[in-house]
Amino acid sequence: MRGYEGDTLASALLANGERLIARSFKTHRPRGIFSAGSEEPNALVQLRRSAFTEPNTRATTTQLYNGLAASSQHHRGSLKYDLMAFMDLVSPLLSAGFYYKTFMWPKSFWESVYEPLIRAAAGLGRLSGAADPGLYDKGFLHCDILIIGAGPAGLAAALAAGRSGARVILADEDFSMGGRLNRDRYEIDGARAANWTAAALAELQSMDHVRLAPRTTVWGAFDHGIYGAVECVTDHLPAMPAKPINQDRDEDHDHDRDRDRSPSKTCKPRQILWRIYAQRTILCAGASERPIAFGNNDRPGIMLAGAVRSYVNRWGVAPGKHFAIFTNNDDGWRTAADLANRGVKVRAIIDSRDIAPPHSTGDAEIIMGGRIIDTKGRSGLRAITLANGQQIETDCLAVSGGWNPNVHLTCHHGSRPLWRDDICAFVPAPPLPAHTPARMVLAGAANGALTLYAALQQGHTAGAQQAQELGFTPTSSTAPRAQDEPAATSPFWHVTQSTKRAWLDLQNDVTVKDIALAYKEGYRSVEHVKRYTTLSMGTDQGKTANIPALAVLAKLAGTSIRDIGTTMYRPPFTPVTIGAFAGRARGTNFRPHCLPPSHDWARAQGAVFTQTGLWQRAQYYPRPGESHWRQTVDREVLQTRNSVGICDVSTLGKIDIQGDDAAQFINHIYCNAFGKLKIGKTRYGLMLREDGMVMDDGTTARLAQTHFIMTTTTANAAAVYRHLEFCRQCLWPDLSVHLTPVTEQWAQYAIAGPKARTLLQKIVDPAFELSNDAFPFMACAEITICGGITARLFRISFSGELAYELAAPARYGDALIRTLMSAGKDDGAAPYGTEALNVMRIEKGHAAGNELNGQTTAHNLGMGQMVSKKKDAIGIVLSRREELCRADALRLSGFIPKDRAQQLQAGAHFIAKGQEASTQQDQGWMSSTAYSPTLGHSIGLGFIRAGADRHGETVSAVDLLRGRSIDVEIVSPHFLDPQGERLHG
Amino acid sequence: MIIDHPLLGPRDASEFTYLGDAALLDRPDTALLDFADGADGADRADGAAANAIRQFHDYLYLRDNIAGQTRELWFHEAGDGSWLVVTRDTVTHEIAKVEMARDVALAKKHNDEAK
Amino acid sequence: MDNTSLKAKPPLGGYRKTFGDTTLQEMTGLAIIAIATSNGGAVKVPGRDHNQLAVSANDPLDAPAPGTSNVIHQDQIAIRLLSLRQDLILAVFTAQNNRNAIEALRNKFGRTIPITDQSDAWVVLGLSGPLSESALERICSIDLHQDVFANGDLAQTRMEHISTILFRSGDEAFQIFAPRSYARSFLHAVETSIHNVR
Repeated sequence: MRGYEGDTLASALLANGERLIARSFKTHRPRGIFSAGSEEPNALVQLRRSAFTEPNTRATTTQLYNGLAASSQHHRGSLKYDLMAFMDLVSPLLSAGFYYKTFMWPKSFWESVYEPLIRAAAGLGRLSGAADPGLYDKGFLHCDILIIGAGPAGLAAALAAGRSGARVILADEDFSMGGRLNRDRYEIDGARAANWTAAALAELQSMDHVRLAPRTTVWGAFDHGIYGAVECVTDHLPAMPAKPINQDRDEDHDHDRDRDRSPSKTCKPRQILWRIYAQRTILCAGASERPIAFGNNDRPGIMLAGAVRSYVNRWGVAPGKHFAIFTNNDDGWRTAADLANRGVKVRAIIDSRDIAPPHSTGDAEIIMGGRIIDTKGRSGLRAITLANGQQIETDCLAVSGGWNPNVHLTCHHGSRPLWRDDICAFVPAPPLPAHTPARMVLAGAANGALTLYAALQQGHTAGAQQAQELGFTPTSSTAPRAQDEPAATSPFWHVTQSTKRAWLDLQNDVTVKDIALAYKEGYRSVEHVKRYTTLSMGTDQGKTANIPALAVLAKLAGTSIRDIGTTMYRPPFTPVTIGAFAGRARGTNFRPHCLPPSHDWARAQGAVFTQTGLWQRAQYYPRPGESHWRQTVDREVLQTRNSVGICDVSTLGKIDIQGDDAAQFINHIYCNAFGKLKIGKTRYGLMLREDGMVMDDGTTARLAQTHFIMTTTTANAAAVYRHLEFCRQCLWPDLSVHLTPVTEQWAQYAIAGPKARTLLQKIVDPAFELSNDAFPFMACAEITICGGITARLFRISFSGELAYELAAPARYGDALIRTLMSAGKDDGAAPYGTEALNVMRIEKGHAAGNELNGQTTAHNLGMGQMVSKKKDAIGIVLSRREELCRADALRLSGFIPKDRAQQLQAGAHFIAKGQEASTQQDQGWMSSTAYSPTLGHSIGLGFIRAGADRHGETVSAVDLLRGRSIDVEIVSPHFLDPQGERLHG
Repeated sequence: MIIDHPLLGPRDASEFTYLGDAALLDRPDTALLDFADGADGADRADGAAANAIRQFHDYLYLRDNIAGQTRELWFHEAGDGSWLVVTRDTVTHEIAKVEMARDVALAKKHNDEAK
Repeated sequence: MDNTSLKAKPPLGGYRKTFGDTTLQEMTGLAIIAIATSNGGAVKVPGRDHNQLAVSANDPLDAPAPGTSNVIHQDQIAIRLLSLRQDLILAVFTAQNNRNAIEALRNKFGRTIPITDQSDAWVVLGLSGPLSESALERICSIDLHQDVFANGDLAQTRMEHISTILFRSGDEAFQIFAPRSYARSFLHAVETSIHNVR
């Protein structure tokens, strides 16, 4: 097939004589091209092949490119002998509400019979099943004035605003700007409309502060002047393989290969989802034509009259040989005139109005007050039948039922359009109500100004006025001059003499009869009728269907469209590809990764990584010969407990707290006493939420009288900082205190085990004494290491061993881990990951994320005594609520299997032995478990009622998900070294 | 949604984190509740602690659900780290006023002290 | 052990790449020092109406308004002061030795003012050339038009989920600060943007 540059798929198909493009959704009736724009209900195609394929693409908006592949989608087998065409014969079943009636019962039938049948029959296109290879991007644009639609009103507005110096974005869904100026033969400023349009676009193009955005659909209006738009950047270019680059690619340290894997220059995103921030918006979205309902009005060859003009004038394609026009308004006559002007035969003009013909047009037969009641032609129109029995041979019927202003975006905040009798259409209510998007005005056909000069004037005025209101000075230019064309119309919607099915919604196969049935069954609200009949619920959202259907409903109800009202429009204006919403955020690019300072070194060691929040942390460091992760973890634990282990703990949140009132401030934050912490000391702090639940815990060190450094858990670093700023700014604004997150500044390593001090002595500069007396448990100091590098040393322990945390500026983090490992080599130092860290904290009975789940109190954790009774801190008052302090409240306890060979499972619930495993008998749950290589069996932490008083008791740990029940003994949560001798060693 | 930061100008809502009603600024004054003198609520016969629990309960949990103007706390998390009091209409989504929460809190303190 | 100085490593190892006339490079050797200014009282900002309820600013720095910057000179060091918020300034300058630089700041602003060394907390990418603005348009929601975001202006904002400081150093030049641990993800985001607009 052949096409020309500037063709759409639809214009090319018509030029090549293709009329039958698709089958309808429910009844599989043959369908052709109906419109020339984004409102197209019929001509949906499956575009492109293989993984690039995209269903439900409108042939009328698809710009032709070399090698374009498209297939019809609503059929099986060949389109002309449609395997599912028999559906048409059984169509009486598929009446209004057919989904609800036919398929509601019995339920099993729905799943096994009806649903597969409907899916196979309907098939609104198919996905490839493969990942979308297309690239997508997002972006942000700002402007003074966003102008939506580049027809006469939009161009005039852009010229007026642009000339004043305002920053303008002019967006249009079409690849060729001009709107109806592309379609109609007009004169503007004494020139042909096409020339005027070209000059206007050239002038706008020359302005730095004006951005022309063709192929850009503004699909949604959001709060405060934010608009969603999608720009189709490369969709009109041949599809090319494209693969998103992976953000982890540089981890393989192979920069040359990186370069090769960078996408080639030609691989650009196919679409960009723009977020546009506009001070003002002028909606110039134009109007869409609507059809008239009459018998068998859905055959290929029956088209909107304006669309016929588009094909004739814009693309030079006559979509038939023998034309007829059916209109209820003056605009339909323009189509006849343009066809005649092109030398195309028009057989008849049928105008529903009983008036004098508004034009005299060549040799066409003119039938005023005419009605079409039926059409003929199995796979394409052959003839029409009038109410008086007259038959007219025609292969293309141009129908005009009047024009609907495209008000959609004005409704996205809930504003309901109002009916105007003079143009028989809904327009946004003037003055704009509160629910219209902020600072949006309308101009042109979208505003009900359906004629050319009115549109130009409104556009010009709106552009100048909005610019002026923003402080720009409009030039004295006047609106472009043009004539207003005849545009009288009449409220004629449906040929009631037709006995044959008359379609309203072509895409969803909703007929006049369906609306009548819905009405008969008691549906009155337009919203209910819409949902019951599926009217306007297709991919076209009923752009051509909605108003005629409302008219039919109004007539049935004996009322007017004005009174019956319209359904609402929601975003998106036209369908937006899911890929555009995803943008770049796919696969490993879904979110950023944070890498701790030891990352490169850990990779080189062959570490296995785990994600904790955004952090990539080393989970464990397998060595040759270790075939199971448990072997590795057991070794890391034992090496730490027996000699020394090193773990990167830089991910812990660190907040620098300074100021005269820093101590007082911290005392308000932690529920335990903190005011009297000595300089050079560190203390464990427990942070509650105001409701008394534990929020976070960590250690805080006092470096100077007015200087503290607080640590938080890795997971809560951002939340704790937010909380602290809330307390500082909102609760105690008069305290002199400053908070600075410094997590990123420091590389921090835990050095734990009996040989920790020996190792450190090789690193720390000799001026600093590390003996137990000089630097005891919970001491902290600013020191220097490795010959003068500033560092901080904390003697704190999560593992339960003699342990330190050493912090150095992050730039030294990589060198420091290497230095520590080589310094510890002789002592058998080993790096350990998050798994071993977890095993050791469970052995020691320290609560972590599983225990600090937002539902546990200090009392639950066995730290109730820590909650100060002598001060006010966040959460203290409500932690005293009676129910939270019950003697039989859940208590953190340790658990060991009676049969030591058994493995405990987190998530198991505790049930008294012999009782049924039911919610009523539930006594608590296992929160953390591990195999303890130190003890040689599985251990667990968990919460159980009154656990502190029940050591030695045996209960069942029941895991219904895994179908297991294990007898466990309740023990102290401190499995190892309960006296803390190792810590203090 | 756009929040017009009093110091930095209009910023996209994606930079902010929502907390809740600005009533959270009105934390009960525990000094007035005779709480800081070492009294342990459970042991007190005069019920001061129970009163404290009730006041904190109301402060933390009781909220009006207004169709109209509300005052809300937003944190400029990806920006300057300031807490803001945003006066927003829940029906129209219009934002009438944005204040630095710290200014609001300080003004409240000054007013309370003046009383 | 024979103690020698640890070798410092910039987050991206001194990355530099050109894309036609546009250059993206890691800025190394910068001292970045956070300085707490007034005690959090409201600062009067010209042209903005916010009620002056708060304690008046007691600001020894005569700090630029939040979102703007200026340059001061101390001990032969040119120091760029980026005003992040009403009580926090980031002092940025080229320095081989942080301790000397911090000392210079103390000399300038007094011994007691709270300062925090942030030199290792950030990766700083310099982006300059004709594609700079359009590349940033893909990831940055801030209006970058020069009438709105002038040379010397800065904004803390989020790009691709990453909290950043964006500083305009010239007509077609920006410096972008991102947390150090995000360095590679952030570089990836900017590189992808440049590629997509190229």
